[in-house]
Amino acid sequence: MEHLLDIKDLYVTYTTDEAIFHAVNGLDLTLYKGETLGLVGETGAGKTTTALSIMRLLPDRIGKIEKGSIVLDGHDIIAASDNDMRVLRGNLVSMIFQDPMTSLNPTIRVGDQVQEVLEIHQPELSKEGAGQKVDEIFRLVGLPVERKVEYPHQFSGGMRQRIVIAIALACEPQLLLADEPTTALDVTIQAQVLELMQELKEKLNMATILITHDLGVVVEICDRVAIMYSGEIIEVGTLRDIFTGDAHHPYTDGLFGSIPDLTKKESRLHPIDGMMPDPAALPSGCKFHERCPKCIEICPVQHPPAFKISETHSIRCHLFASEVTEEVDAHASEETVKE
Amino acid sequence: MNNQSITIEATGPVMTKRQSLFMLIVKRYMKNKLAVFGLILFMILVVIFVLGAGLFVDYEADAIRHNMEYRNKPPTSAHIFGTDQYGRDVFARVLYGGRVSLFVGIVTILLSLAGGSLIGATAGYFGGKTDNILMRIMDVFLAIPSILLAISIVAALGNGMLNLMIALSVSSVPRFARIVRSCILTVKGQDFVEAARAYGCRDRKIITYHILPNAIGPIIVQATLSMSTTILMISSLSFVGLGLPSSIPEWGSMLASAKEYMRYSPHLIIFPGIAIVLAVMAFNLIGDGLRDALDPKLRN
Repeated sequence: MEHLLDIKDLYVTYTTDEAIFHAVNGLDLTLYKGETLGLVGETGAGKTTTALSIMRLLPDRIGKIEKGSIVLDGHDIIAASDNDMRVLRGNLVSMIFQDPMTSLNPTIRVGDQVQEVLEIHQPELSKEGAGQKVDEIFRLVGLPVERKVEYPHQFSGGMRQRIVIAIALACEPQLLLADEPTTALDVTIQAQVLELMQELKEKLNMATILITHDLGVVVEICDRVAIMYSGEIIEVGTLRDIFTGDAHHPYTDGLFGSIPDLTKKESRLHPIDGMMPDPAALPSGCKFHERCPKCIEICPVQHPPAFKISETHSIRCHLFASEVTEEVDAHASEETVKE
Repeated sequence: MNNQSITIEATGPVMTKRQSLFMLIVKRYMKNKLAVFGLILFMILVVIFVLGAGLFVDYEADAIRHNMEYRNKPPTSAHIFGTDQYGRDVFARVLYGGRVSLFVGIVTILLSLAGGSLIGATAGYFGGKTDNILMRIMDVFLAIPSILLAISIVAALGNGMLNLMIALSVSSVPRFARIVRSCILTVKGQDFVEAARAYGCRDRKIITYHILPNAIGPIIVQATLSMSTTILMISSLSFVGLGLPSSIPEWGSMLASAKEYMRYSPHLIIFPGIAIVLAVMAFNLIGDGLRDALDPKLRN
């Protein structure tokens, strides 16, 4: 399959007066055209930072891409000029934000907000043409066209998220970054929005990175899953690889251990002990070793490479060193890129 | 004909929806009795100064020409506010003075609003060095009392209405710049601004289309409240002889020239004074009312 997005060895830091926070540490990620990838992890794992890096929208003067490469559909994101980036945003890559209540401008009619995106990226479109396109998009996301003259405060949360999706999809981007698009919605509306996203994905054949900490949402619409911890991907595989099978990163096991299972008779959940490491002072070796129930001697000393379990499944954990068939080292792959 | 009726139908709902947000603000404003009183007062003043002055008073004969037989006469039926030390009708001069004050005041506010918005919005949106440089320059201006700054500008440029407006605008730009900057800062952090950047909106459009309309409330309030300060400033500058030439009727200069006679002819001070008080009060009440009506926390 064709690669749409290639992130190699990405490091992102946030510099404040108190400390330097290492938000993303050596992240490698590949996204194929048209697929939906779930990016799962705790709060502070660097999921949103990764998405903002792809958009190059890290906060000015604070967030910085230290090293690594991001190539999106042949465009080098890190080297692109500000204006090139502005043209890509909304056109090739769009982002949906977490809270639909705040991500719409309260003073502009919703139809005009959708039309604005079209006017930015397709200036050749006439006023009427753009208006018709807005109607089309409204129908696509299931909004009544006659309500496009209303203001955001006249819509419910679920409707607003549809408007946000309409804005993101207006120019039919290749890649959609959805940053917890359902977190701020209640469960029934969540289901509707997920169904809509699923439907649109099939209709428009665009790739999606779905950022979430809800594994239920992941099962619903994702093709592949990447588990993030402390700024790196510790396990990545197809939905089947992650949700079934025995070979898992201890952290993934921990994640599933903290979800109630209706089919098992258990009186307690098994949360992972401890907290995410402080991004201002990361531990040595494997970043999970302090909380890992299966920690061995090498863990605090050496940072584990990603071991390939199967063609689609790889895990960044020393426990899998023995059964490894092929070692995918971040630095080795970096050298191949250079050649 | 047929076409026309279709267009009207199509825009029908648009109009009602557009009004709904505006009507909400109007409704909230109308609930405030004092604010409504201020608005009515303002409208009465405008009608009197703009229409009444032209209709009922002969500018040349009553307000400009000296008439030494009628010096310092108390109010009578012919001169309801009395006459001043040159025999000019005080009523006529108060009316024409209102024109000058309102005109200079409004132009000054618009100029300083434009300048302040440009500087404040640039500083607030881009932050960092741009912000520091612009705002430190504004701080220098703020360090000088605005009346002193205005006096020195008029002194350098010379008397006259245009110079007066320039002086007053320059001295109130820093205040507007600060207000606009702080409004921009609060709106800038909101998600929809980030979202606009995420779909490729240009900086200039983000500022003018997304941020300023959401920050307009406090800015309008500052403008109306500054209106009263500006009227007082015009009067103060004229009072010390740096405003308009004394032949042009203006409330401040009327007070200034009347101060020698106020012991025996108090009406020379009382009537222009009342005019100033009423105008300032009207703008303050309107400003307060707008502040409450536009408060985004109460909007919904």
